[in-house]
Amino acid sequence: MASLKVYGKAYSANVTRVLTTLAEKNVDDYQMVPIDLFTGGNKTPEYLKLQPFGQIPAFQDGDFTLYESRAIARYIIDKYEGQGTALFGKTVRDKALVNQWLEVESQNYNPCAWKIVVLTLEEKLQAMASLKVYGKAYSANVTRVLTTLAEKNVDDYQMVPIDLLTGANKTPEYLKLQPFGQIPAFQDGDFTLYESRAIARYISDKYEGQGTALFGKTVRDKALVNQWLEVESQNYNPCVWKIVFECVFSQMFEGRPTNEAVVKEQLEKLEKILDVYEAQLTHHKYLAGDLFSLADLAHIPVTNNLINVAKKGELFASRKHLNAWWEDISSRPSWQKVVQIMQAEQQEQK
Amino acid sequence: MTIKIYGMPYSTCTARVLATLAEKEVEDYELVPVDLSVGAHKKPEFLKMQPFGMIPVLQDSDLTIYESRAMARYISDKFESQGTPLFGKTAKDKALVNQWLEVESQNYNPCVSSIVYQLVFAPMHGRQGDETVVKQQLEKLEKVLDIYEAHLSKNKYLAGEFFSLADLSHIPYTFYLVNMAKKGDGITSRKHVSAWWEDISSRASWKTVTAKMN
Repeated sequence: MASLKVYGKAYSANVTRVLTTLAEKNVDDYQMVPIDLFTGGNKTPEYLKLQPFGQIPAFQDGDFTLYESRAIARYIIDKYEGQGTALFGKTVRDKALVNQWLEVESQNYNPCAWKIVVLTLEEKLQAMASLKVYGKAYSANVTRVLTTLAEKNVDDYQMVPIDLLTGANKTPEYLKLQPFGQIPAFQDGDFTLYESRAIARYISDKYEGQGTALFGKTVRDKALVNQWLEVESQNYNPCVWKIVFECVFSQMFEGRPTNEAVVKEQLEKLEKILDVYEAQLTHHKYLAGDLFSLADLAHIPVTNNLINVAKKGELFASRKHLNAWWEDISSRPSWQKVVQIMQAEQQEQK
Repeated sequence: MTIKIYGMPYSTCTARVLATLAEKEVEDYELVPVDLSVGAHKKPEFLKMQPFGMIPVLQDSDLTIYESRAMARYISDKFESQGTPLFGKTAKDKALVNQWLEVESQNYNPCVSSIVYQLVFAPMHGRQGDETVVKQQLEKLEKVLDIYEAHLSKNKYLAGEFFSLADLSHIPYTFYLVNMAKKGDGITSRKHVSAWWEDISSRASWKTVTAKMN
């Protein structure tokens, strides 16, 4: 077991100051003990015993503990004076000049350089993490949001996995974001939002100047988009969801087989609803008129579940214009991109 | 009078639209009754306007819109410069209004409308209400109302300190739940939900709607 231990993580400049010194003195025989600032490893009582300021690195030689990277470096240089690079020159003069420039680094250079690094990192982190989508791509409600982001040409977002199957949606931390314990939740900086259709509206508003216009052009267009968004919400989705749940998820989530009576009842309802859609789409290319809108988009994820997962595609195949509309909207690059995200996620699970 | 609302004053969804018109101080519209008891909403002329055969429907010149929440949005947009600002002032306000409109739509309304249907509308049409469904939905509603209580203990209204379309959208079905179905205990037993309910249901806009119900 190595008698030398370096506590910390190599992402820290102060830690690598020590590691570089060890390397210059040809010292390999040491152990790195990870202390990660991001997980608060530096704030545990055990670590604060070693380094009461809660900083990294800390250093041990047997039972002798030392901290402050420049002091640790000096100790290593003294202990291993006979090997590796002579890091304080040869003469008393040399050593004095080394000490002088060590102080210049400590008092003038480092404070300045460190501020620049921190500010640049903060900017980068801000830009990276500005948009977050909490959830998993197996959820139609989550992919409703991802598809909207894609339509508006927004790539710069982070997915934070919240898996219903592990109960991650019921933790106190998650319930602070989404008190109903549902996915998705969404963050733009420190602004939190939930309900996929509300998130989609927010994205459409925020990125109004780019990507597809999701609410048409005029007040009329917008009114018709809102109408078909409500039709999806109030008529289409409740029906389709019940069918998909019974056919695909009843065993997984409720430990029971498909209730065929419910499926039959909902299919009868859905047939009537789809007749209305067929009539609408006979006269219009898309639901709200001649242009693709958020109303069409909102239908895509749950329709994918109905056709490709619950295998009820006949409902669509038997209706000419409905089927053409489905082919069209499900071929859009935005949905294709989300399908890839879904497939990648499935692969990760394996 | 360019605006026509096809519906009935006692209909919860029609009431949502009438309340919105009142909040936006719009009086210049015509309420065209649709006699549900004779199946007027299933006749071909009506189905041309609303192919799902439901009330209400809005007509403004040559624009026909259905779905009460979409109609409310249209009225809020068209009359943006008058009456109550129903989407707040900022982009964040608007996003939070939309969020709670969805909560109403996805979490609150399915429970409440189911209870109201079983206890009020089914008997109206000569059908026996299903007590098991009522019990199940009341249990679900309790959990939802706990979340509302926590939220309203920190916010005067759903989207923040301002009344919005999100609060308004809850009024009609909640009114039926409390006054007709007599299942308002969940509302009245929670301090902040109760205060919120008192506040929003006492607004002048809602009073004009209930006056029309009689």
